[in-house]
Amino acid sequence: MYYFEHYLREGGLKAPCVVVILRNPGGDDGLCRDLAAEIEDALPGASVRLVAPGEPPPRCDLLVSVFERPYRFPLQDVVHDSLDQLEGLLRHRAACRSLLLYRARWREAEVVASADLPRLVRRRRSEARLVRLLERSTILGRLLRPLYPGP
Amino acid sequence: MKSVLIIGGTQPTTSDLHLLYHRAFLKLGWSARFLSSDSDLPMGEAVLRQARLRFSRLHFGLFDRRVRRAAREARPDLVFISGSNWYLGAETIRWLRRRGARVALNEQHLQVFRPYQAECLPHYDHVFTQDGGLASLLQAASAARGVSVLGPACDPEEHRPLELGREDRSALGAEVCYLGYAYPNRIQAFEGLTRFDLRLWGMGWDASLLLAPFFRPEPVHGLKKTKIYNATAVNVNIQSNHYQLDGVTCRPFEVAACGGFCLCDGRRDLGRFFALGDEVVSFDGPEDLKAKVAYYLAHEEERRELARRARARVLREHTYEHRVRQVLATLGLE
Repeated sequence: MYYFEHYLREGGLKAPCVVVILRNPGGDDGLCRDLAAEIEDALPGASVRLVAPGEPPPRCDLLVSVFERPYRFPLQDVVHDSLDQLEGLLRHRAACRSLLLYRARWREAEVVASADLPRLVRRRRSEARLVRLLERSTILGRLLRPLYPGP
Repeated sequence: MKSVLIIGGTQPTTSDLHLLYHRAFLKLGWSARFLSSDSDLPMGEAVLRQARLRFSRLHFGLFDRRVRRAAREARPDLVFISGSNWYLGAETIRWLRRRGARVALNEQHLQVFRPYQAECLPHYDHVFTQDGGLASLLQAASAARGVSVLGPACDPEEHRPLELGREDRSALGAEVCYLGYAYPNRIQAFEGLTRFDLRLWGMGWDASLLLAPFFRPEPVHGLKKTKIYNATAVNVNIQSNHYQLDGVTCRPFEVAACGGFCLCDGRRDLGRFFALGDEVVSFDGPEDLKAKVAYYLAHEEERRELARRARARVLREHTYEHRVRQVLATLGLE
């Protein structure tokens, strides 16, 4: 489908390629299966494999990490709440050319070259610290109340 | 090679239509760049757009700066604002035009009445609307230079018939389905359909105790949506009362391209694009919907024949490539 075709192509991915999706401990396997089907459709001829939690990923062109947590608007990036998962990818970056950070609940695909991952991790860490500061400030908390409050 | 900068959203609404315009421009030999207004945002924009400062000068300033930077890099012949103009100011539109770009708004909702949106209207080279009612209003009462209807569409690569396995049919199939937000008019309509094998996808359906058991609160877009349209006997289309006057959205077009059957609420614009009763069937209110769902579930051949004719029509006239050709002809950019 074109959404993934577009973002994977912008990230420099082309078929044929090897894609590995890391399943999360206790995660929603349905999300991973849907994602695998999407990627196979976007990159016909690609080999897409799901890897069990804890299993080291084989060498691949694209390593996919699925961020499953729900969103908290307006400070919305689920990656800020899942820094451990993001930092864990640093261990695997030698095994892949690129990584796809897939925010599943409010679809967002971010492709990053493995060489750029440390910089991205540093940026997300700083942002997460900033988010915590924003959340502690009463005035900013008021200004940044969600426009559409959740349930 | 001519170049277009498309500004639109990519988060999971019912369709990826703004991105599908991107593919259509590429297919017609244009260079195309997509600037998302809701994904992959710098942190400041990401926070502000979901907060009460969404319509603040601060947020507009950040967004407009990003658009200008993209325009400096891409040097577009056309800037195509697709969906609605959520955050672009009139000064930036004038700036884009001074740099030689044509600027067109492709209005999919009814978002032209906020003061900054109305202020922009005279500055576009053309305003396309998906809704015939809105087009008439703007032609009669706005300072827009040109207004015309740009219909919804399908992408035959995205929306296509699929051979589904038993597992997909069982997980995604139903007699009746709806995929979208649970607006009050939709809740009312579907509360009358609970005796059927009903599946509701999207958001908010658990607000109705009656409908909660039929709700599958899981993300649906892309391939999964195409599979659902393929696996469902009767897809229902009910327009929002907030975002359309006479218009229809792309759902009936996408379902048709998948080879599926769609029952549509009787909006005036439906007849612009389909032969009513021959290619598409409409209903008038919840009771009529219930009766027609029962009828078409019992008459499979008739349903399939309508779907076959609807598919032929959308492939012949209603793809994104057709729409882009219309845009280029209107703007003299062929």
